[in-house]
Amino acid sequence: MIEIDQNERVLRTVRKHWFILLSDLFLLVICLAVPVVFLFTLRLLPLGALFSWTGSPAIAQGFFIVAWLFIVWIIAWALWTNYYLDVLVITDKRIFTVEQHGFFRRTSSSFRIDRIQNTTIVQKGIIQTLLNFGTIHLETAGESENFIGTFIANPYEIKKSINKMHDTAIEKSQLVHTGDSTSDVLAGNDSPLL
Amino acid sequence: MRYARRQVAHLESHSLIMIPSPLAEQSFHILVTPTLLFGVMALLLLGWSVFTLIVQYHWKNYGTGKLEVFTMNFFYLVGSLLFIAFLAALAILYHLSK
Repeated sequence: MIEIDQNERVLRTVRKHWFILLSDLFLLVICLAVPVVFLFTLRLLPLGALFSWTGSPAIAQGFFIVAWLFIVWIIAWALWTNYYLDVLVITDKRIFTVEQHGFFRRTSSSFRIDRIQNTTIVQKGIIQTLLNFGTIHLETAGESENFIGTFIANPYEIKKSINKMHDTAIEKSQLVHTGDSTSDVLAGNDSPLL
Repeated sequence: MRYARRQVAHLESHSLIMIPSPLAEQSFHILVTPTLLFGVMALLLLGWSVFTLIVQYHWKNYGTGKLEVFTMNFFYLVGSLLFIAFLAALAILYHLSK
């Protein structure tokens, strides 16, 4: 679950490129072809002799085809959910990353935008270049694990907006520090720097 | 052409096109009854119910927008109900076609 503060604003929700869904669609097409191959085999091989029908065989075959399509429908939603839940949420303060592996394994992490030290984009191959997607590496200060977002759509645009937000966050924090030291001086406290 | 037809007729008369299945020879038969169809349907419904519970839990808790989750729920439920209705209709039709 992504826990966003009340005063935090979601600026962007980023998902993997649609091309990643194509490989899942390929699996679904293969699944859809299974009954066609099975019916063809049933006509070619004497497998029909194995079945005894108490009613119309055409209706029963139709039932099994629809049953198989129903299974494919469920598989399709499982694949979609896996795609949908892999997400990168950018707020005005933090970046949340969620990586869903199946239904029961989930890696979720978040880090502050002002802690980002380096943003790298890696695009490999002709497909990633032409369709404009790639991997984003976000290096953060400290010993925390760096973030790697794979197959992210429009990576350069995201990098640009992250850099912009990072600059704003740094400027804001510097203003806060300056404001603090000014108020300390005005209050007559000794500055720690002096 | 005439030769080919004659060849096919010859093969059919000697039952050479249909290779006898070893399972059929051992009188192994799957009797497709309406009960079998309803049983398959009940199993599918059970699997679908469990899947629906899991998937909706994920959408509800980890989804990134209420409208998105609502749209997904709508299409998922409408599609699933259509499939279930179609399955039930075919099973009943099979039962009636005895």
